[in-house]
Amino acid sequence: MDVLFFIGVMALFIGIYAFLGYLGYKKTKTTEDYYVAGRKMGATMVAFSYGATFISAVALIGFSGIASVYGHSILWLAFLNIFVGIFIAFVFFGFRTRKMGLELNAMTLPDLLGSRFQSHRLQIASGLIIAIFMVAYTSAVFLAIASLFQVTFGIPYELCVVLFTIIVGIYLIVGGAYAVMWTHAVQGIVMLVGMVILTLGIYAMLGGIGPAHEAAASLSVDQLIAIGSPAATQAPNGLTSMPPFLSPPFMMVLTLIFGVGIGVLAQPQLITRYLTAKDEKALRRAVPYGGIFILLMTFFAFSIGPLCNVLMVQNNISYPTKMVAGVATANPDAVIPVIVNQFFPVWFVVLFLFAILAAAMSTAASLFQTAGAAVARDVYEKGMRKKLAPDRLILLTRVATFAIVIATLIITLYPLDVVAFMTAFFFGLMACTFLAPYALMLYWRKTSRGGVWAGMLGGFIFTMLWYVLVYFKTAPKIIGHSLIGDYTINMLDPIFIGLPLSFLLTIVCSLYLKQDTSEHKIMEKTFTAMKKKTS
Amino acid sequence: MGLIVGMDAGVFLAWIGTILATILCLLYGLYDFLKKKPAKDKPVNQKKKSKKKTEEGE
Repeated sequence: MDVLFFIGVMALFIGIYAFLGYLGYKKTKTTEDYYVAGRKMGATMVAFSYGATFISAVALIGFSGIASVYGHSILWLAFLNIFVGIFIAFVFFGFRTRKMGLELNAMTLPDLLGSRFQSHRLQIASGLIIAIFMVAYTSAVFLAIASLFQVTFGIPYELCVVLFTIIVGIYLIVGGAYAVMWTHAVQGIVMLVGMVILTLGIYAMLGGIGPAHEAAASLSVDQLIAIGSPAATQAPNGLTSMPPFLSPPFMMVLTLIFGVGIGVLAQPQLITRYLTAKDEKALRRAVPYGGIFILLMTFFAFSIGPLCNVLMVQNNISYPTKMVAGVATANPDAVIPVIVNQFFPVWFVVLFLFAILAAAMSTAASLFQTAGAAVARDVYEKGMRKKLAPDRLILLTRVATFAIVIATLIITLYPLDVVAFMTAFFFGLMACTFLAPYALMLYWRKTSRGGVWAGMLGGFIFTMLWYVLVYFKTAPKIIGHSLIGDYTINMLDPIFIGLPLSFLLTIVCSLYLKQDTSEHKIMEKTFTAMKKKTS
Repeated sequence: MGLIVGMDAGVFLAWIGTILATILCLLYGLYDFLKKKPAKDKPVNQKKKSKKKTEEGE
């Protein structure tokens, strides 16, 4: 690898990010500017920002690797990513969220909940949950990307972590939401170019769509065993077939598809994107752009994962491994980097690494931004019960974001087991905690403060208990074994039970603990605003 | 069981479903684009109508 070439491209990107951070700083005058880019973003920017936040390095590298293990059945997740993650999200959640946000002058999800239900405590509690778990999740994003750079370039892990965190931290703290949105556009373009070239290249090497899929379907168990691919056991019906119904691989695919596919609706960092749109038209026009972006990202990434096995078999390349407790274990995360290194020219290796870096940075920037806002606006300002002047609040948010960036840096440099668990919890936890209160807040007039507390805490506590006591990946590491031995139960993502439970609790408790006068007044106000056709 | 584009029925459904979901997003954008156009033309039509009315009146 040409280190000078790499440093040159890196310097170019740092220059672009620094410039956009400076522009964002100059444009930021109000708290709305800092939190939601002045609510002035057009369709393309909203779509790019939503897509770049949605698609992290884990989605591209991690899930392509998972597809190389479980085969094309993981494409159901790509379907949900577009149908639920874009269409349902924007059409059924985006417009109403934006209108409610405008009416209540809310700029974060906890802000929406707190203002809608007239509860500082609700805002503080949800802000705390988001801030704490988001730090862990952001640290995981950096951990993954730093490991990738260490393996590919031999750059020390610590240097990568410090470098990436500082770059993202600086342009975010200085430039606020404007800088985040603009850098998302740059990062989104790099991600698109990288994924499209990689996918077209792999399909071209294998003779096109049909021949490539047929080659993957015809791989025998012996061939997969010969290269050490876990697909030999995890894709028992072949790489282009669904696994047997209710078998462990089926349960694994099911839990991934629904955990991530539905969980996306309640991610606070994505909800903030709706609030940046300048009008309803921008959100409507973002739907096709977002659909195409996610198609070129996840559909392409999940399609090429299983095909990597074909390339490895045809070229006698061993499936990548990593040492876990002294034992060589299959490492799906390294599949795409290995294929890129082996089959693509050097310029593309650099481009692809920057695409992955862009995916990690864009997600991390949104996470930092959401966590910083949660601490400053939702926890500190509401906890103090004092309205701060806009410039004071922006300063406070910058300080809070800086503290979060430093905390993330320390956690990433000295990763603890608890962080790994919190990361594993993140998607399911956000969905089970916030989706029911958030959806009912938008659609059901009778939703009350008591109901939202019950649904939020019920979902949160159930999900934590499920991960600690039952879930097959986390429970054995925390308490030694899962309390439920049946794999069809313990492999289920908590979303299957936690989400209906959270809906039930929110509805039942809203019926018993009815809205008070102030809540009712706000409800009438927001629902009237949401009925208005245009904005 | 036969394969469609090298995939079994369950996987093919996901594959084609993803493409159809993207087309749905595109059609939604297209519908919005086309729906908004007549609204822009409206003032012009109204002007024309009012002109016609005044001409008729004269």
